[in-house]
Amino acid sequence: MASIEIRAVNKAFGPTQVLHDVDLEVANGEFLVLVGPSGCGKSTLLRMIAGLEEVSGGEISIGGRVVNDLPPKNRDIAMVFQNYALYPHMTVRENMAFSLKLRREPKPQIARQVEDAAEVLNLMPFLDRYPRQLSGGQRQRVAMGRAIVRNPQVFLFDEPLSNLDAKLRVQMRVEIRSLHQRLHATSVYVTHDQIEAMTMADRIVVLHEGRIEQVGSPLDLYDHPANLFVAGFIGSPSMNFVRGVLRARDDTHWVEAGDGTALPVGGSPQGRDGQEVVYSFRPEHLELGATGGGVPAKIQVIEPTGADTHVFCEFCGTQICAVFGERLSVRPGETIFLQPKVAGVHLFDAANGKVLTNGIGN
Amino acid sequence: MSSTAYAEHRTVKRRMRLGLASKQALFAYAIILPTLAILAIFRFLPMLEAFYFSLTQYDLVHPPKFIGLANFVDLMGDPLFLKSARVSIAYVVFSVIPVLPLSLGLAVLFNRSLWIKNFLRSAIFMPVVMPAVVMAVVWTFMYQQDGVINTILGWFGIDPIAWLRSSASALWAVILIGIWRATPYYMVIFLAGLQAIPADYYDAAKIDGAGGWASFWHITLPLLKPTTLLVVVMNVIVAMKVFAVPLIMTNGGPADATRVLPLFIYQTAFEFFDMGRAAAMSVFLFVAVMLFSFVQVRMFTRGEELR
Repeated sequence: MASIEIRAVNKAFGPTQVLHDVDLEVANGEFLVLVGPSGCGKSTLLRMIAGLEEVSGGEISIGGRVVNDLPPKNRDIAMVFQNYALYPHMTVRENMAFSLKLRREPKPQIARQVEDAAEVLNLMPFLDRYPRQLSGGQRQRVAMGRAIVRNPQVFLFDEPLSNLDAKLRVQMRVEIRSLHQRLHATSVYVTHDQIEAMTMADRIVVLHEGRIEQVGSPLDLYDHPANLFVAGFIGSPSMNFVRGVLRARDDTHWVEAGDGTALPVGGSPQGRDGQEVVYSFRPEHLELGATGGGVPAKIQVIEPTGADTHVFCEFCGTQICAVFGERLSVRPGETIFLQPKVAGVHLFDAANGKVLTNGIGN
Repeated sequence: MSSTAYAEHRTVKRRMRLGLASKQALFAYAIILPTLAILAIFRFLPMLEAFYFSLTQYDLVHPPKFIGLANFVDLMGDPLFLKSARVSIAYVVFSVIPVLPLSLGLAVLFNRSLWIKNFLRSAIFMPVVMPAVVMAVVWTFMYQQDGVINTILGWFGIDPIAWLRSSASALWAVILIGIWRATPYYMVIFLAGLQAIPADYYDAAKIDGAGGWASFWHITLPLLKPTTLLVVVMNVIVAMKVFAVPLIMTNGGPADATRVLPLFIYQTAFEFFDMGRAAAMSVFLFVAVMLFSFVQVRMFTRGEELR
């Protein structure tokens, strides 16, 4: 097992710079998730760790050894690809044994290692089948098997679950996680799905346009987003944003929304009176007020998910989403009164998106 | 909905669906009909007619006379026919085998990013777009005693070779043109096959520890199997049918050294006016091509279906 260190790494394809001075450390045995919208450079960074893309600038080391100029095979890594990349002309057994065969390991040892890995992944009945004879979930498992069979220092995952249906994805998520708990291998996992990131990661790295926006544990990012991008990207349904102006009188602070509504702010945030801010709160941080208490919100759409109710409504001239644990007897077109919980309110500087205050209660 | 009403609803629905399906089928038939008609008139009918003529004695002037299998029996004892068949087999074997590594090698080369790639690719493809007759005439000049080829050989101190006038070298001269002409064509087919292999497999192979040769051997070659089959079968068929080049360059000579079967068939039909015999040889060639192709397909797809 090994740690990974990424120092001031840059990547350019021709004139297009896709990664800007990325600094990152992955601790030994850690499960790190790189998350971001498509085109943010997360897959490129992963492929650079793997050795499939050249490093334009900076340094990548694995286990204390700089690997910039090492070919993939000398980096002691394994990778699981988005569409599995199982060799179609080889059986499951041959797919899993391929790397060992190339290393000229003795045949009985190859057979034993393949069968051990197959045992772990419940692939024993499929060893002599071809990839085309397997279901999506089984192929996914073979791709994992190919990775674990040679016991590498580092596992790299490139959106491995994005081709699976929703139910299978949840199941494989749990399997990958429990596999990691068993093997304790350093893992870097790329996804664009923030739920995958939240549920699987020890730490999450949010990438946006080739730059790291924030690094932290899932709940840390959820509760203390460093900027508007992270705030909007992490969490589903995503955080609500209302533009306004910060007002300070003596020790009291509030935000004046575009339509003049005064929105409560707890504590004393950074920022000056009259500063343009984005008033933000998560959908679950809203209380249903009695008539006349709170801000009037006109309901547009109601989505009952069973466990809770998502209410989309117009609030201070902006469309927001409110999530309630209970079932509501309201209908589209009606007006309800909503009160943001002060403890869950975040303020961001409207000019640069940086956080001014994260809710005091978190 | 009561159960009868439901059943009725189902029947109506099924009837409508069938109606749509047969309408679509009719439309499909209407679209392929013209092609089928043209093929039938200009391809299948003459083929059937050839089968019939092979059982007759026919000189293009008098009406054909049915003589059963006499033409075939005759052919088996005809030294000219047997010699021609041997020449054809030699032509096929020696013009097909070198084309495989050559066209695949060029395809692999051109599949990489090479700055001069587009120019070279067009240059190499030239022989394919050149009409066979033009090509044969140009090569005839080049093969002459004082032609380009002997001049170049002379620079290296090699005595001039009587390329097309010697029975020892004429077939090789013709085969060389076959290779020169087929290689770029099959290169393009191999190139298409190479480009259809997802880059992911090579990434996975790199991670698994495969170098250039190992990826070629374990990934490229096996995944090109369907393409290779296509190339071998097409190449054998084209080589068995070679006609224009030997006709123009040597007219089968010297000493029958380049009289391939198609040329002999043509000469028997239109120079010796023995249509029945020519048709019998055509049937023989047809069966040979079919058998070859069948065996090749079986060999390549042994034990697994084509992807």
